[in-house]
Amino acid sequence: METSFANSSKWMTAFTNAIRIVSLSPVFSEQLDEKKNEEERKPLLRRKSSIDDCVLLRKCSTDSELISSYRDRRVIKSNSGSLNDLTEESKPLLLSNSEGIIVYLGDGHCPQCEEIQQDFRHIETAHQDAAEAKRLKLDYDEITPCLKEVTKEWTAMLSFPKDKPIARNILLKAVRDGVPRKLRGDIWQLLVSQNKLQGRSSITDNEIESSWAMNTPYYDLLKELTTHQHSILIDLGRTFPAHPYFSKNLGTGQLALFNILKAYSLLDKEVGYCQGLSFVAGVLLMHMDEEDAFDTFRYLMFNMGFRRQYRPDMMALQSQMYQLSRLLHDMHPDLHEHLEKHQIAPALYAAPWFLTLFASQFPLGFVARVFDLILHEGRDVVLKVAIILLGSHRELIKQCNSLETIVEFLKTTLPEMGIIQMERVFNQTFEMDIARQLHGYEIEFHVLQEELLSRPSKEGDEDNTIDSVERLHQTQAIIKSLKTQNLELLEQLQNANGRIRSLEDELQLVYDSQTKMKNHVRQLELERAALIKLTSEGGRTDLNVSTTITDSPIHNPVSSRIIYESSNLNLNKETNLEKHVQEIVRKKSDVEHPINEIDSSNLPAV
Amino acid sequence: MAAGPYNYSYIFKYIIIGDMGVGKSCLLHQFTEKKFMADCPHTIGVEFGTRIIEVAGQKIKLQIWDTAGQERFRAVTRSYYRGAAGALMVYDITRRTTYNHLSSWLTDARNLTNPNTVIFLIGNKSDLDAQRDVTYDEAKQFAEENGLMFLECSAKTGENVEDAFLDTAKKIYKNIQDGSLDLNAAESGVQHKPSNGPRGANLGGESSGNKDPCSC
Repeated sequence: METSFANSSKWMTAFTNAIRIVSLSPVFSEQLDEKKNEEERKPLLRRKSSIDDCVLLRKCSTDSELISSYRDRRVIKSNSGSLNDLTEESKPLLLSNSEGIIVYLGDGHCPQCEEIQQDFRHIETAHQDAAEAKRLKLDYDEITPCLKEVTKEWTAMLSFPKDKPIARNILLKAVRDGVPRKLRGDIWQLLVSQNKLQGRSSITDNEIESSWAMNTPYYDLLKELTTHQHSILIDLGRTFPAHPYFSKNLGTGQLALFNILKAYSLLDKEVGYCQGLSFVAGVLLMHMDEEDAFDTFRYLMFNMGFRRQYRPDMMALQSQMYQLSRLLHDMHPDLHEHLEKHQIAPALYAAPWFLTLFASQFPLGFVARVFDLILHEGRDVVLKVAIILLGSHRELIKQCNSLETIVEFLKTTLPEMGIIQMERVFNQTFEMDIARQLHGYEIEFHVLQEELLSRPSKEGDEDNTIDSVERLHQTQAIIKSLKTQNLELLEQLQNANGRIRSLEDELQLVYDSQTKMKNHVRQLELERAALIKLTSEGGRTDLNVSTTITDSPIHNPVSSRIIYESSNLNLNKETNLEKHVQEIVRKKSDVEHPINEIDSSNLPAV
Repeated sequence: MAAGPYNYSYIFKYIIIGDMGVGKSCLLHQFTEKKFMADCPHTIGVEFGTRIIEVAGQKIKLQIWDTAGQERFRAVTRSYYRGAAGALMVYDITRRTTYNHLSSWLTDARNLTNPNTVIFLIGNKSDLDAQRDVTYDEAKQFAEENGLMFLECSAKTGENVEDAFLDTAKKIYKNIQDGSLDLNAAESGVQHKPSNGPRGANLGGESSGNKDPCSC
């Protein structure tokens, strides 16, 4: 007996210690018996020899379950079996029955000991398996390693009541400082609930009955059948195929993944299942249990709007690729040209970045960090990371001189960059704001798309006379050029508006400093007058001078000449300033002039 | 690596199409790396592989575009059909649905490539004969009716994989020789790289060809 207990694990010790506390605490025992009859409600310590003194525990497979059973008072009394006296010093002995495990403090013989020990070994193994599974799931290198203080901050925030809003800047700072791997799942859920609290979860897809989508219980969805079952099954074994949690054919990981994807396909009939989704759900599953992962997945899709890129027409995906291409053109024109030259469009390398949120190619530490940022900030993060990745590897990409080598670099070499470099990418992401550009480019994409759609299909009606075909072509050419012009004008308008704003700011500054200067000049003039008066009165004493101009900032009569000159100088400055203001006003009207023209020239004739 | 400006005289562009899970990427991997990739993640968007082969004493570089199989990805992959000299259309002999969808893939291939594009039908997973769901004969008949070349292959064992890619190249080369494929036509899917000149005729990715690996 004793040897086997001595061999038992740390967990076992924790378990029995917990029970010792439970069973020896009269207060607890009383609480326990609140609803039981009077006879049973006697403190444990006073009735050491009775079988009633043992406590029956629900079978607990983990420490946390044990502790929560203890807290929830699911510890109940048992009244079967035979026991020796209980003393505080007794070695623990265990009994089991159909309901669970009886734990008491005593050292008598127990016929079921073998069985119980076996039971415990099972529990232990299950516990170890769970711990091992968690370790396996989170086996990746962290990008921004978390300092102890940061972890403490997170722990504190996690312990706040769920409905307590945390200031955005505090959250932002914490996300910037790093997210500890072990708390990451909880932190993601915290970020989601904070977004919801702060009304940052605007559901943008009207056509979906979002309330239904958000409120259908997960387990209800699992009961139904999906038409996408087959596709989901095909991809199960091909999602993180090398990751230990997902590698086992129809193992725990794959089954959980299947459940989430199935439930989602039932929830979102339009998207159903799309390749790429399994990676996103997989990343969530590595950090939290199935149901929480599903909730977070649903939040990403509906509230954050990621579902749009998976729709059957894939328009949103194409729009993002267009945005990336435009950003590249703006920010790294040389790289853009290089890629264009080798006919490398974002479809060739960025589709997996967007659709799996980098999860299919990049190391998990990187991916987890992308998720941190997305859950705090939203969808723009994906494009920011994409453009920063390209920009920071600009020179290396330009050294690749063929389609093959560039694609190979983007697909294989790029994701293998060092941790420090990755951290730099995220630091830049925090600094970047491209919301305005992204919005502009999205509109641009849709305008271009409409133009494409309005074109007739290649196989034109052969009955048409060549004449009318030609006319059609001409009209189309005109429409096309008009649309291009419109786009350019729109862009000009945007630029001009930006320019006006900055000019107005500048103008305001100048006005402010002008007023200041004027005041100063007035003061100096007063001073000057006083000084002139002083010099003309010549014979007066120094004492008098100082009384006349005590208010003046400069009251040394000797320097009156200097003051005179400097006031002249200031006058000059003032005239210069006025000139400058006039200049700006003129510039502003120059800029506004074409805008008025644009406004009046019937904008997009779409 | 050869010393000259190019160690091949032609580039042929291929696409691989077919339903999800039929083994498109594995076929490509088997052909370019000569081994079976057991834990191959699914293709998202478009992937790409190359290998240099020899046909009638001519070195030819095959530039192969591997596409995602899910229906909706066609919106993204369609642009890669353009200018393909060869199209490998793959189904899974153990899953009838993948065979039933061939006509839709064929329509796409015909509409989006040029009339001379060689279309090769591949029945993959021939190693799983016990689970066969599509007979060789019916597929053969389908191929003949539609003027396609046909083989059953196994990306796992490598059986016939080489032949499928090479036979397609031979047919394209033959089309060039007998003049039915005009190299100067736009989107022929073939690029000629005269061994003495730096740049060939037209098209298909301006890949300047030097296979020097990127020095990064």
